[in-house]
Amino acid sequence: MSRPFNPRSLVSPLLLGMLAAAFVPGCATKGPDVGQAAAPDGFDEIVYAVRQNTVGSGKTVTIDVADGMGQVMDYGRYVPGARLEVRNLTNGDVRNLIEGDRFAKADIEGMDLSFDAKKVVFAMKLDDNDNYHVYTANLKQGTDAKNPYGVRQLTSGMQDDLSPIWLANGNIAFITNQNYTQMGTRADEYNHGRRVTQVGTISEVGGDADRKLCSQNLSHVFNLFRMKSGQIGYSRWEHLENVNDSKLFAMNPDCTKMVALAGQHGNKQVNSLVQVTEALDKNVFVAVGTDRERTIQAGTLLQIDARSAVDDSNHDEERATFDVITPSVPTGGDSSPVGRYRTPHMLPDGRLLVSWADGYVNDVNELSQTPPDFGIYIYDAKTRRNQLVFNDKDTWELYAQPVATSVEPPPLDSVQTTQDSTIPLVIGSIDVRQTSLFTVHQNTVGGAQFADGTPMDQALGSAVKVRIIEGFSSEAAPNVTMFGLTMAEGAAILGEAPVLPDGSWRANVPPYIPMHLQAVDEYELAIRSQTTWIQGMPGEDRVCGGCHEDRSAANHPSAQQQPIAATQIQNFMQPIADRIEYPWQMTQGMGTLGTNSLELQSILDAKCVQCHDGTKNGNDAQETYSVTMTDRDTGKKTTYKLSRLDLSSTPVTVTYDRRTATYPASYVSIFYPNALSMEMGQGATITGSVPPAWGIPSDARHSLMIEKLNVTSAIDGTKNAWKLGDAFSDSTITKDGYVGVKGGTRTMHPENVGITLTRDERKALIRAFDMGGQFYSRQNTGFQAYGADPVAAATPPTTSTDPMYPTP
Amino acid sequence: MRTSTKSLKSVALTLVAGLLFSGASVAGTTAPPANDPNLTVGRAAVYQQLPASSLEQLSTPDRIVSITQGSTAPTEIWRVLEHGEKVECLDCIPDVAKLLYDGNAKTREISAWWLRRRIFGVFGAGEVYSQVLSTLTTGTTDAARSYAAEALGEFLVRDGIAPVAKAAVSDTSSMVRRSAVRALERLNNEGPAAELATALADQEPEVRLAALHATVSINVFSRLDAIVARLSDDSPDVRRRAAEALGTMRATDAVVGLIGLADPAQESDPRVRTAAIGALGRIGDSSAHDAVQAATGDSDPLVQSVAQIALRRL
Repeated sequence: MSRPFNPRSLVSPLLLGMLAAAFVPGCATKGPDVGQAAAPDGFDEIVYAVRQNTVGSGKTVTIDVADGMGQVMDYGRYVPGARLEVRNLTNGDVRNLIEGDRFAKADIEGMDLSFDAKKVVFAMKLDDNDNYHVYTANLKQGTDAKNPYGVRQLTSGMQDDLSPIWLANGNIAFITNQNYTQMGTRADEYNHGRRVTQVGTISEVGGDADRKLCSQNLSHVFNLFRMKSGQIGYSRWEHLENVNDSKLFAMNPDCTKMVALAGQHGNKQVNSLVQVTEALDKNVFVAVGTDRERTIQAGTLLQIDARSAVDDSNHDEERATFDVITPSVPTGGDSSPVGRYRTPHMLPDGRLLVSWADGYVNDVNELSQTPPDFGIYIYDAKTRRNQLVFNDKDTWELYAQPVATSVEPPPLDSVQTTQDSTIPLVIGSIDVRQTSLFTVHQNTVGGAQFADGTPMDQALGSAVKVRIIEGFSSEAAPNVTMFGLTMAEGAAILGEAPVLPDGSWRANVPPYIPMHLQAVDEYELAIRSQTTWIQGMPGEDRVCGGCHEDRSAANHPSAQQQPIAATQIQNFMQPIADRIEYPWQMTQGMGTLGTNSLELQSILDAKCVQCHDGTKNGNDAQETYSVTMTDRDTGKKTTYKLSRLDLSSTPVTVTYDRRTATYPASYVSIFYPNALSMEMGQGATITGSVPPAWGIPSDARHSLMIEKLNVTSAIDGTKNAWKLGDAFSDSTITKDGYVGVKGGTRTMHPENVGITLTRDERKALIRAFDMGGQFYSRQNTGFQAYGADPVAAATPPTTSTDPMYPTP
Repeated sequence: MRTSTKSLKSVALTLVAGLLFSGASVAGTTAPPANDPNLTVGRAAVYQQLPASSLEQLSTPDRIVSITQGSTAPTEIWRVLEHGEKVECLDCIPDVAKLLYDGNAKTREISAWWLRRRIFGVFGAGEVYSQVLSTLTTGTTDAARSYAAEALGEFLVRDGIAPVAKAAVSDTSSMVRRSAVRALERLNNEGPAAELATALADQEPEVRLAALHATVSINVFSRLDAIVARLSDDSPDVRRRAAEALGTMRATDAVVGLIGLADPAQESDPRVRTAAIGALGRIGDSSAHDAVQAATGDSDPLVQSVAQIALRRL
């Protein structure tokens, strides 16, 4: 937003008047243009970054509030004019560590003070044509007139390296949007083209020469924070279908042992946990809690106690507690004039050095052309008061830390020393039946052989396989509008590891890539789908206790000293082309169907369209319903007619020139009813009766088409997932014309009409539904691997001399 | 972010309007109750036990329409459309389509993203997609053609590749050519006749810069020689980015040219020297050792520090 330039008008008198009436916590009054409080005990100086929100001079200025900060994980904000200041709170002296023409157009993102309090590491973008890179600077002036504070550039290149923090032994962790892995540009399906950020590490001495890239999540990793344990703490955006939030994780500095820290369970009270500082007690944290978007990455302050009840030096994510310590500050995107916090830092006396802005701190600022004014305060949770430390009304002061030494965490031994992606990651479980999903979280399952409300631990006793699913974003399936009528990401099966008699399983899988797991029963149906991504490094061995085992209990093999899987490891180190995908339909010659894959439409063409096409549906004539779009400007109505269950490849009228976004009638028939259920009955004008939800993405167990087909046990061919002869789960007939599954009672279909589906064909349909019901995969989009992948392409090792990873 | 000149009076009026409007527009963003049916779609329907704060909160169709009518903060527009990802509101489509030509770049991007996720009403004959294609070639203003190119990039439809590739090298406006290049990047494609390489030699630096950015983002770029040629570009910004791109691609063929850019006698801009030396370190070819060694004594402190690090990689 823009307006005439007048610094005094940056805070509107009108807005201030409204704020005065509504403001609740602490320092309600605005100080002078440059306000400053007396020095707190324990330190004389603070170091912080100054970031700009206003550009221009003369008659026109541009006020930029949300660009690059619209969502909590965004990092693209660049407004020139940053400073890196050390301010003496006793005498008011200020020195800028990045003085000079070279830094005149710089912006700073993230900063951390070294343990000896002598230097800072920070991310800086020198000008509009630059990227953010990692730099260090000394706090004390040296003798080099050209470089008085010894600024050093540690990383370079055409990627953004951001949010650096110090680790033990002079190492540095940061986040980067550098492309790596064969997927190339990994973009969160939900966050458009913005490249996701992952963790990397360097040493202070070696910089890029020691650059190491950690394994990837499907969405952003951001806001790194130090941990007393020596681990790297971080916020991570979780996006699995309609799960969308930011939780806390940790990993070792060598990129191994990624673990959940907090936010996965319990009532975290906010959507996003970001900008964390560890409290005086180990594994107790203070975070900013806020909504995903519209709060300029600011929010309330929460204390998170993630200490294990058994050993408080360890953490227990499933029993973490969350307490809002600034109760008057909104926990979400509420339109509140109270104000919001950013970048807390724990002080030695237990108070918090914070950035704070009065007012709405959201898009009201955008509309009113009045940027929120982040200044530096000390927040005392006991008195619930902010004490002004320093504020310049014209700029944002962020990332403040006291200039004081801190305890360097212990270095953690590195077990991971290679970035060779041909060396597998090993994953597995000691016993999948060990779970806290019911005992602690009351999770249950229903559908098929399980009555509704079946405890999860009981259901997991039926697991015979663990399905390992790779996730990828639309960049790996080029030129598709979306993966289909589903929120699900791209998916490929790396393999299904058998659950051995003691409940254990183990498999070699490609490193770096995000995956999630499904426990699978004897009917090929997922019992439980993991709702978070896992990943690991080359050579790492990540064996869990069970399927979400109790975090505070010991996990022992059920029968003997070592799990059976310790010596029976599966090998799923497959090139991309050999991974199992289920493209619904191979489109216009794009791509090649893998030898382990199946095209679903070909199954339907061979076994289903005889009875389910555009004119007939089983023994009946095909029924239709329609949806209508009305252009409110012209009044023009466009109607789209859909079949109740047409399993043919006939293109539905959703294409442009029959070449774009073509979906066959089968795909639309199966998944559109469920898609319509998401619109809350308000959006489309529907004529006729919407059919039952034949296909529910990620839920074959409740998909009526799978129930109609039915499936036998892989162990006992006389058993069926859905008991033969019983009524279908949904055979409802309502007054308004809705009709559930027709055709009497449960049978094996289409065998009951003389057509045989092979087990592989039936399995393919079940798996495709359980994987998310995507239309597109890599194999029907012409995927080509990223050509500048800095880590080697994953290919199966022919032989291994490493005793840890024997050749399967 | 917008750039225009307003009077103080208009600012005050805008402020009042903003506050009044905001009271209505933001009210729906607090966490919904755990039993909200809008939270029980997709995976949440499978695992009802997931906490409401973790789940997507869907926008209503009425809300989607309302944010297209003006006077809504851009951040609210972005939020409503993102949370309307799977809201199958056919009647919303004509209204959201207007946002493809909004003055805010991110609003244009997100509206295209929302539209591309519709199964009906966008890609049919005469519908939004074909209208945008037409605008790319027949739009009467540079802005309209530029925004159309951006939309085609965000639609991610293969049929958009050829028209944006053509616009990238033939439109009379550099604004349009730059948008078309960015669209090719979004489409993850260098163009049917490697138009991205042609754009690297565009007469306008901003187009060349956009093309360089695209070369390292798309999965396959076949014309390394076109990047090497930019090491002698008139624009220091272009030389800098060309060096960085060649480093990303570990282009050993470019080492000689990069050594030249590392030399202050040949390259006066320290930003370019920094980029060249960083690229030489990333490529790791030992023939660059002496040049990088010499750069540790460069007059620019940042060049020195990058050279010290690059030397460790050679």
